[in-house]
Amino acid sequence: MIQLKHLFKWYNVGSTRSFVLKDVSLNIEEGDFISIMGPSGSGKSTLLNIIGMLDEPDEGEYLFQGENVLELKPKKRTQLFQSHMGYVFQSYHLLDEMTVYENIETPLIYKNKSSSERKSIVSDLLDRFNIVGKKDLFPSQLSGGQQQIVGIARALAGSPSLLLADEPTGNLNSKQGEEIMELFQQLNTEGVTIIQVTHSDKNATYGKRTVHMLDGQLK
Amino acid sequence: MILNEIKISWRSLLKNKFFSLLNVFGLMLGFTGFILSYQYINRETSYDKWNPNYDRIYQVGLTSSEEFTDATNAMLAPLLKRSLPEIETAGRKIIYSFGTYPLFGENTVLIKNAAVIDSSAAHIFQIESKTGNLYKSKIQNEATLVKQDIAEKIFKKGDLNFDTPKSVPVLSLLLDQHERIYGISKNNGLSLIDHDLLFIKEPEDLFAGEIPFSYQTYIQVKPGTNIDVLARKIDKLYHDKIVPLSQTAALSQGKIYLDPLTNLHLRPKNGSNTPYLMLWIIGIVSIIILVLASANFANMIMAQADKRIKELALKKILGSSRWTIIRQLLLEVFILTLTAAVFSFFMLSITGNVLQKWFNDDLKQYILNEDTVMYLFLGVIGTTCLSGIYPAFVLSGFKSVSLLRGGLGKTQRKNTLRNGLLVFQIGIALLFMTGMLVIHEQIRYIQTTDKGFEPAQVITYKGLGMYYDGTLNGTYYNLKERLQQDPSILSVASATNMPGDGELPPKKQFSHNQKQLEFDHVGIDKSYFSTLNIAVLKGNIPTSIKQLLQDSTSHYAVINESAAMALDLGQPIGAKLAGCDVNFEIIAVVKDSKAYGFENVVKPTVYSYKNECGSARPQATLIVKAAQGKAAQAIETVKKEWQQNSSTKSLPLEYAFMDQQYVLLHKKQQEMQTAFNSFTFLAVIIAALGLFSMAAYQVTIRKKEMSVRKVLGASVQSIFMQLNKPFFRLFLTATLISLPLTYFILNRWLDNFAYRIDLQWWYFLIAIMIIFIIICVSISYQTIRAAKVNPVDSLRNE
Repeated sequence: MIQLKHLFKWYNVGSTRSFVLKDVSLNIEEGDFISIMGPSGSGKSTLLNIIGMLDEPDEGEYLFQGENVLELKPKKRTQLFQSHMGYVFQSYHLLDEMTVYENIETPLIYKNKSSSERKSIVSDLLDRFNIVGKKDLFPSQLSGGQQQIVGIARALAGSPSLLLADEPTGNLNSKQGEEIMELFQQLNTEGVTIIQVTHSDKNATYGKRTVHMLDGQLK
Repeated sequence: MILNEIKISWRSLLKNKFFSLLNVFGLMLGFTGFILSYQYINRETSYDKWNPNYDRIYQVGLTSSEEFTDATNAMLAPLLKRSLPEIETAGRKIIYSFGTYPLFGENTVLIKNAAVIDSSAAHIFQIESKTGNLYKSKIQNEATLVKQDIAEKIFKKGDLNFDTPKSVPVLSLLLDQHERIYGISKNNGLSLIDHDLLFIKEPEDLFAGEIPFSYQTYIQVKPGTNIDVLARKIDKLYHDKIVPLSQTAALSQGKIYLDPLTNLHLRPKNGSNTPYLMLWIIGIVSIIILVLASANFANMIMAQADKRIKELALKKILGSSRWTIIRQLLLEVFILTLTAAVFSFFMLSITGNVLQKWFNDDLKQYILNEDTVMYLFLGVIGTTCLSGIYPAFVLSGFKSVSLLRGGLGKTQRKNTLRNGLLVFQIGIALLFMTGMLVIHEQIRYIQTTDKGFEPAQVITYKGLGMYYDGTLNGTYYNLKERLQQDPSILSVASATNMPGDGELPPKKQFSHNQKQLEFDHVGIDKSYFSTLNIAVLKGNIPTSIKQLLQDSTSHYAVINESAAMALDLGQPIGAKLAGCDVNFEIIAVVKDSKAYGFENVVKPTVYSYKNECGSARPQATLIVKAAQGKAAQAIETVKKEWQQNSSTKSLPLEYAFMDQQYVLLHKKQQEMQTAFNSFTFLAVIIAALGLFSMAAYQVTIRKKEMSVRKVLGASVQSIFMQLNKPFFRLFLTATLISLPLTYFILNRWLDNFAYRIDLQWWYFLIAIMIIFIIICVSISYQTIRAAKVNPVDSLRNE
């Protein structure tokens, strides 16, 4: 599904180059559940951002379902992202002036789905995550775990085939973290490809494959 | 979708209720101020514009050595009409200047602004009657009109048919004088010719022989006439035909000039151009305030948008197109500006009503019309674009990832624009504040400086002398002697002109030893100088009537300091001065009196006792100086005398206090003071608003930096100083730029006055201090709050 070939990314510090990613090549199949692990500064988040088309490598190729993503126009890229991917952030990044319902609804609006379609999809998700009673609350009224769940629901709203998660349990306690990881496993069983970046070994065990990174290189 | 966007916009506005309101308020002030000023200017420049021949009408005047006068010989107009083919018609006008003109109809009405024009002038100014043709038959030789409200007072209700003219007793019931009223004047629009009672008569019909008065002459020229050439032609004609007839008239050696009707209301050559300057100032200032308010608004929108960067980035990631985000931002701005416009409309209608009720000003109809709505609409669109476009495009173009991490690195560019705006605002506020102080000081100077005469306790009766015999020892003299005996009256005098009078004394030609000079002339009596406390500097003035009666061939003249300087005589006393067809002997020199305001230099003046210069100018004004605290009794005494005079007992007696009249001379300056104070207030508020929101923005941006500093050991005070530093720098820049400009502008304004204060350094200092304090207060609220924030709260979001 995803092919990364010899990705390089660097920052120019004075006259030297400081590499964030050094010759990273990776293949990801459909249905995979990959955990990218490594210490801070190893380039994990950057790699995830590149996969999620939020960032660009300075060198290298990125093929998504056979298409060379880096040669696509930005608009096409956003379309691609919208239809296939969902992103879960570590700090949830919910929209503060919108209710839970509206937050989950947002990606659907940008996909130009009709009002009734949106209603049905969102209520399904609310049901699934057992947060129906909270649909009119604002993010500031929810706990961290609940906000993360909303974030995940939002990421799933567009029925993505690929779910990207950047330290999804980083701000949660162990019990909430467990719930989230179990949810991921379940999604994976249903066919969603998941790539997660994590610090925790425990989280990594939920996945099928683990990839280690150190100083911008795969180990 | 749109509904969703509106919902979000509304919620984000509510979240920042306070700032949204501030935004709206500031913008509303800008809109309102601008529209008010604009419509005021519209009205003031619309005088006579409705006249189809507007651009072909000119006033004919005389000028000599920088002096201008509109007083021309009565025969000039008919001469021009018959001699010059380029002139379609030429008319004359003269204002009734002997106090109020009584009409004895169903009610007695005292007309304050009566005037006489001839039929040609009526034609030029499109004077029309509501009740039919102006001239109903060929033999009709006059066509006097009154205004509607006057007609309703003097005629019976329902009796307003003017097929035949109505005769009304006037001036004095005893003398059995009547005037015929031919109709009710039609109001075509604002005009130079605007009189409650308008006599339309030919001067030739009023006076047999030489006409003793000077008239204002107006001409209407054929299209395409070269005005300069015409002026020269008129000048030649004037000197060939008119000047030989009468040498003593004002500026008779001068040159003819033509003043277009377009200028006459605001800046007639023979008057002050203060109204014109005022319009310019109001116009420029209101534009500045509008720009300030919009810039402020844009600034605040940009600042607030920055706070929402995270939200915008997220939306982009979730798939929103850039255009959608732009639309969202523009929508929010639009809602705000629309609200401001609506509030502004309300404010305008309130102001219109206030103006109507308290100032009797009809600006209301100009304010609330379709033009205003259109301007507001344009303003809304304009401000939306101005404030919304920049943040909308710039912000939506940022890279999402860097935005999410909370980075705002690329904002440095915007700061120059914003800082520039703030410097501009502070500079303007400084200018206005200093201006306010200076204007206040100048007016105080006018009020408190020695005027050369003393107007306090002086009561004036304009036109009173008309009803008495004014010969040296006639009934007028007797009246004055009797009044003098009354204990409540200190002194009584009479004159042809008095200080504070709207009318200036006429200029006459005098010559001494072949030198020709133009002096003002005032006819006075023996008590004039003592009544007005004008100091006699050299020589002796006659103190009793005997002296004046003694020699009927002697003509005494008293001159003021300026006249003495113009004559340049070592010893002016005893010198001979020829003028008004007689030979004067100078017997005294008196102090200059700033009788006609501080704007003009005191004119050299000749005072004489026997009405030599114009028998048709009686010493109609009675001047009574009351004893301290006895003004009411003095007025009573005069009233009793008035009632004892058989020809006046049924007439109302009008009087005025000279000090109040004198103050009115500077009415325009006081109006300017009021207008300026309001603008200062506005500008300072807007500047403070701008600073307040700028401070809030800065605080948000630098929250993290301040928290880090605190952790490193900075005290609350030093954080406070850190946050305030950029503003102090802005203030310093603004001061440096604005000070020289302010000095220059205020100096120019003060130059309008012949007698003025000097610009003291402490005016500027006070203004700077006041603005500085206001600035400190505006920003301190934010910065103090920021300095006290617990660093933990702002450092945790990584």
